Amino acid sequence: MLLEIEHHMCFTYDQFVRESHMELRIEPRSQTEQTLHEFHLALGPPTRITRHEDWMGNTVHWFSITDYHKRIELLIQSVVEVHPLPNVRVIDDPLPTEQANDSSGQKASTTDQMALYDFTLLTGPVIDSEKLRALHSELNLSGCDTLGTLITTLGEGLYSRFTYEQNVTNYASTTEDFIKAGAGVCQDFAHIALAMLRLSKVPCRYVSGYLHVEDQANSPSQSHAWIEFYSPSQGWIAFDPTHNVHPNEFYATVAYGRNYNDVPPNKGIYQGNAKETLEAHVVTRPSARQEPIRIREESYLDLPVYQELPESERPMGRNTAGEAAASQQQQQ
Amino acid sequence: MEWTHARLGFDEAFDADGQVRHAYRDLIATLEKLPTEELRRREQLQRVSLINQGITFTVYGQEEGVERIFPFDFVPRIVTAQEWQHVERGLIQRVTALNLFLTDIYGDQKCLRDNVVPYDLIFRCGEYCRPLVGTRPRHDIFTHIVGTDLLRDEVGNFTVLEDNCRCPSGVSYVVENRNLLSRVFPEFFEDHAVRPVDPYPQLLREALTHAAPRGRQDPVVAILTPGLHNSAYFEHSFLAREMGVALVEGRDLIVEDDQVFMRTTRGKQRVDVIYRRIDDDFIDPVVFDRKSVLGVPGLVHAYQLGNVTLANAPGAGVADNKAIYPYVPDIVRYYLDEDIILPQVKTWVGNRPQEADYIRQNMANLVVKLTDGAGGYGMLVGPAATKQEIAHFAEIFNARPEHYIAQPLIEFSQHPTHINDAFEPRRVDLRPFILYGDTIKVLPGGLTRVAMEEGSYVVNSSQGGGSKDTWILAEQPS
Repeated sequence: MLLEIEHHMCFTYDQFVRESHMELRIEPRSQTEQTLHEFHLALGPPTRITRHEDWMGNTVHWFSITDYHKRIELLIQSVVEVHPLPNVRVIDDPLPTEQANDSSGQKASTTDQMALYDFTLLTGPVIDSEKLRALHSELNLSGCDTLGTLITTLGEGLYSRFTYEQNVTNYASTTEDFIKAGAGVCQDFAHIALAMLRLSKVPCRYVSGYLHVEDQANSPSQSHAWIEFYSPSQGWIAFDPTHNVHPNEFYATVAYGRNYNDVPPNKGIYQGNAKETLEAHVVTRPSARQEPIRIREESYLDLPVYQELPESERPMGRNTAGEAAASQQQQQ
Repeated sequence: MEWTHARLGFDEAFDADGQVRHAYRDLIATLEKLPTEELRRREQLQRVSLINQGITFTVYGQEEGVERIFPFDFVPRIVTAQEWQHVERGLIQRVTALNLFLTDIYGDQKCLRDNVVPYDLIFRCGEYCRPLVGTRPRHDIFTHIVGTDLLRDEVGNFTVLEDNCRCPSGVSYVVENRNLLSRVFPEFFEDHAVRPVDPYPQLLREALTHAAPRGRQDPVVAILTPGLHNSAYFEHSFLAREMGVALVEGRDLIVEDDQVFMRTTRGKQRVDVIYRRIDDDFIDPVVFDRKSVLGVPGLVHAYQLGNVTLANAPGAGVADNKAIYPYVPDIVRYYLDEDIILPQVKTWVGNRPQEADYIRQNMANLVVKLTDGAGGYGMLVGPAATKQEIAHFAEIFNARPEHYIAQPLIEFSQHPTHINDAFEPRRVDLRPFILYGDTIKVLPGGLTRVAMEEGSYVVNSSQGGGSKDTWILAEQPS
């Protein structure tokens, strides 16, 4: 399956901002199960873009805009080939026992164990609590005998217990918030699944990516989040708790992390007393191309910046000295 | 003149038979000659001088006045050339090994694969900074400035209590205490060859310059301070003044085209080396705490590209984490194939279930510390605590034992201290400062902190400690 993905992001500010710094994780990975054929990033206002890999091997694009601006636009186009996965897998690994995974005083017997350790801890928005443990026992996860049945039980349990609904939670919501609300989006489903698996001592990671939806009329394509869990016999296996399915060739992986906080598509800071609005949309389609070409490039969108605040925008008699401390804003 | 000797532990000035130690003979003879009235007069002089110079620090959580005078005791602490040689060798060895360890942790992580340090300790350590794995600082130096806290045990051996590899403070007091003592008691210095401490700013500047990114001629150095309300602001301004470099706050710096610039009256100037006195969590709101307004957005990015040096390097706190401390002798052996020169304090690690049990059962005899705490906050001194305090602390401990370590209470050394017209023993520690430039240099001196209260073991300035001038004697010509 060759997928064309277009991701458009537009940040607008109701006042001029002096400075923006942004880190992006939007380039699909190239790995065993998928190949990135084309990647094109267009950014306005024009500024230097640097690219590096983070500790998880995700690609990070970085830019700063240090002149006054009111709008940042990004157009990201990728062509990804997702290699089909076998539909049915038997995952009959026995479940890890308490003892085997007891980290206290544990010896780093293998490089594998070390590499998996980060994915066994409840960190960031995945919060250990009484409620979380109560949910774990309600779902009867301790009764499962293989990794396969654990995943099935977990998937069904979450699917029946939680509702997919937008605008209930936000990007900073935790597993606590999700349990309380009983509804949320893919990010919340992913976090709760991670929490349950980690309580069962199964290493698992957060996946940020894109999902191609065939019936575009009813539900548009989107940025999506799901998880991968680790099977000692088969390695990492993907699972989408939002839809209770194992991902197929419509899922394009962008980044891996311990949780959302490691891999937000955009993360940054801007300076200025302004309110930010982000508009984002994703379009995906199967590519008609016969022979994909391998290309990676960056280009610029012609949006304006100003060395100084435009005359018309200057505040009248406002004290600007104290502005700096008060005006640094988180961007999301 | 009345001199009380220490009944517990090692007395720095008197031996077990009550005889004055050789190094202290001339000093005590000089003090004996000064009448009580004169000592009072000099002490008054000293107090006025401290206030006038604004040598102050801030105690957090105190309502009254933001700043306080750091109490100063005029009886200097003397370390002989021979003793110092040993300490110096030990500190150089330690800092060498810790930097190799940090290079490994942020590189191949060989020591974790080889089980020298348990990987879970590192991965749970709050100072371990994942985004920086794979980033190598210039010359592989992570800790340009280290302050290592030493105690002298019952028999007088210098023992390492902890390292401070992030933003160790106190060196300004080392220099200012010497200035003060030589003005108020010039006669003390007549009979002694005391090694000077005033070259420190010059040495620091050399170490920072050495760390500059490749190819920068006459690198521009700046000190990044959290600002006026930080407890060590006095020191930040002192060092900036003495080194002749800019003192900046986060809002004075801007990252543009992946380079760091400071806003000056003559426009923007590129900065090559930043001696940052802001904790990792606050240096860059993009990478770390996003609510921080103290830091500089993009700073870590510029650092990762090698366009600016941060001293100390972000992530260096892994090396001084209290959970890692018990492994330092192994770290020294692993990287240097040497035995550790300066001994450490026996430590139980809450991360290991059997040791956590030991801590629970012996809390009344132990000093229990939070592995990610500093400055005497979040700790229990068992032998000095009430039953209630111990019970309360046990609850906190049991909630997350893996965040604690425990050590026996060290009966550390005492030193004559002028209290109410008499000389009484008070407990002292020592923080030498180690600079890592083209070589590792230890400032011949250090901050001696003194617990001003009788019987107290807490020397922290935030909890009522004072300080003394520390003399390292020059080698006697033979």
